[in-house]
Amino acid sequence: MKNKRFYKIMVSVFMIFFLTGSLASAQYPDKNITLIVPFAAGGTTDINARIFAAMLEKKLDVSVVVKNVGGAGGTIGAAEVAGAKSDGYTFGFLSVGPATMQPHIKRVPYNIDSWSFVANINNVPAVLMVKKSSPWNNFQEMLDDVKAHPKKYYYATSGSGNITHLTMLAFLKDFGLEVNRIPHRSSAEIMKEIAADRIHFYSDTPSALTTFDVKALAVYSAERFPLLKDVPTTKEFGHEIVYSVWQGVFAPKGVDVTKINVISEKIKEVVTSQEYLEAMRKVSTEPQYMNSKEFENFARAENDKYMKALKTSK
Amino acid sequence: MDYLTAIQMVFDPLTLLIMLLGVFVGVFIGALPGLGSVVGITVCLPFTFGMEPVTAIALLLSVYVGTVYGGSIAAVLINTPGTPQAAATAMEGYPMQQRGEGGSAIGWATIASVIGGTFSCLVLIIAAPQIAKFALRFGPIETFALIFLGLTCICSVSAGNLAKGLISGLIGLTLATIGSDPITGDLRFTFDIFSLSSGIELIPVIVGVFALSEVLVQISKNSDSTGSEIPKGTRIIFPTFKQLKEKWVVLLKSSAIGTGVGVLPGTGAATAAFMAYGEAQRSSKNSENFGKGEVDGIVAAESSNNAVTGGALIPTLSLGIPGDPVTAIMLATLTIHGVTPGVRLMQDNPETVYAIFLLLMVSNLFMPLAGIPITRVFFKVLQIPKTALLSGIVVLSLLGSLVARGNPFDLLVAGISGVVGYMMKRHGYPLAPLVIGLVLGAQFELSFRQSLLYMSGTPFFSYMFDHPLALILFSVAFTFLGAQLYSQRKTQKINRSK
Repeated sequence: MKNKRFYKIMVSVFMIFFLTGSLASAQYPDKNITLIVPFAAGGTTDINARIFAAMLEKKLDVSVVVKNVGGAGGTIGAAEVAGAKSDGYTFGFLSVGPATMQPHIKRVPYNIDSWSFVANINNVPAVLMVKKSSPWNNFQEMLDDVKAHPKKYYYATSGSGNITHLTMLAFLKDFGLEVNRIPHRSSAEIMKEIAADRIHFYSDTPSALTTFDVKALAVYSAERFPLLKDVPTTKEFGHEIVYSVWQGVFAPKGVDVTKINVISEKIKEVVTSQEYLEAMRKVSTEPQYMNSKEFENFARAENDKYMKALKTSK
Repeated sequence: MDYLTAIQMVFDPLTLLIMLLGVFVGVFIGALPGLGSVVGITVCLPFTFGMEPVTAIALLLSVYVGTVYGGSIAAVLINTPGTPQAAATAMEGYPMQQRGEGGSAIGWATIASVIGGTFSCLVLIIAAPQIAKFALRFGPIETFALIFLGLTCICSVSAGNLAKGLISGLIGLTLATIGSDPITGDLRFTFDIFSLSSGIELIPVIVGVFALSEVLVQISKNSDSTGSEIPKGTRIIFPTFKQLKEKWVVLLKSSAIGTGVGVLPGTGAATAAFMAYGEAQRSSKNSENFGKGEVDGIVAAESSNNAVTGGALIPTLSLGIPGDPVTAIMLATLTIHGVTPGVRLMQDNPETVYAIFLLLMVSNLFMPLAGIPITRVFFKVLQIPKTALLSGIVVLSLLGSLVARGNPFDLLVAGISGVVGYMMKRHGYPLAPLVIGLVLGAQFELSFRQSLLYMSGTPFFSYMFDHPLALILFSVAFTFLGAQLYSQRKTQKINRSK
């Protein structure tokens, strides 16, 4: 007898769980969301992701847990996103590198078709920087000097086939310059080498300009960048080079479109808010929202561009 | 004037309370294997968004200092270095604990940490701009020379059996070559295993080699002798002032090594600890006691790894160039709070810089306050049955390896390292060289190959004579090596004639 009653209770408990479970799932999202950041804690991408996650959390009423899965130029984390369950609770905060460059450099278990595209959030053009006290006052002076002294100067990259490398390759090729490359592992190391005059050029996002003793000679965008109005584009000197560092939210392929749109709408509220703009300006980043469709087109175009660039660089 | 403002900012009850809390959290996190400084700081990062800049830095700095020291507690008591930089401490601390002197081992570690931290803080206050300028002279070839010097300490830590030590060191260096080629980015030795493409992670190896291998040793012992033989202790025992005075040479030298290593980007506390440990053993009168519970080893490792904190802040504050990942996070935090770090920080926000000096000083002094109760708790935990303790260590170690970067593959790395470490122990191979090789390997290779890139086109000798600093470091390294080999041969001769 007792046993029977026990079963009854158990069954009803399960029923309640089951029912509330299915009811709740009607209101997606109803549990914590994991946001995978494919870089170590404390890096630029991580800081941006954490600021973003904290604001998204408020809009969603569920926690957005940032999980750092670093290593191998962000591909380990990206692979984890691509291989995650497509239930709409795991997303990746991926940037241009792991999403659209790395797959063309080495074998990784994902490609551009592995994703459900959610939204783009930030986008800043890369800039060409030199030491502030360098003798070149502008792009043209630098160009003349480097042309006259091939192989005299050095540039640094923070990794192979990443944005700091590809922009320099494109720049040197288009302008017909010869500059030696010294690979490094991080921007911090490179900033030290620039200060010590062992490295003369570096291309990266403008955030270094506010922090270090470096100045921008050119920006790699189609038009002048609003935050750096005085810096010319390379196009003004005859060669259009467009390279930007963007960050977007990705989900594994096969996530329900309605779920993607729910999240994308909430992301739009965050990214277009004044609060977010201010926070991003402090870290020299520009918010740029794209919805699922726009973002997919953009990412695919970027992917094609880097596929070509990396093929010719090899 | 700026100093007064700074004092007001630091000696605010809320800031002090947060720092005490931060040191506690830091020591606790540091004591858990795998959860190092970076994890500790990241956990606290979201809380800082709503704080004043100085309070935010107070929290991060105190957690930082706490984690670096906290790693030593678990290292001494259960041979599980909470952080890579505590690995050297485990090599001396754990034998002491087995002799029942765990409390005093932690006491020494605590005082050495405080002295190392304070020393580097003083250096930071007095000479930050000058040292930062000097640090700029460390280019690829100088870095290579320094790491070469660091690797020579493999010889001293493997005293007694040089061949086995070198084999162990080579294993470490070889492991460091797995992953992406630092120059071309091509994958090497990954055997198509995707998780290996970022190389072998340090934490699972350390956890495996030290903690898991020790568990295996205990289990294999248990089969022939029953009953727990873990010696009891209850609390931290601080060294007396007189004992401390006898160690001042080691303390000073190791603190200086730690500060120096901290200044250079791309090295870190683990490197400093091993370099100071190797140097202490090389110059010690009782170097044969190393590995069997020698206080000098603990003192060297702990004072140097805590001295890294101040050292790392030197380029961070005077050039805006972070010395390690932790200071990078601090810089980012400052930026979020609207304080722009960089070369102009000293001029634009002197009060913030002075406040950071004071914060570092105070966090160092708070260390014993957190160390005393947490050590007590750990000693209590040690009294649980041995089987439970051993399984607890296994769980914690594996958890730590997993958390380090969230990749389950690292569990496998930890497991294999554990078995390898056990085999090495059984056959008398020292473990320290393996870890030293792995810690220094990547930077060793990168700086060497960068130097080659700079050298191409210049005759070798003219390049070298353009870099006197590197020449000096190389000469010191070769002198050490020569002296080592000479004394090794002498002892061998004596042994043979016996």
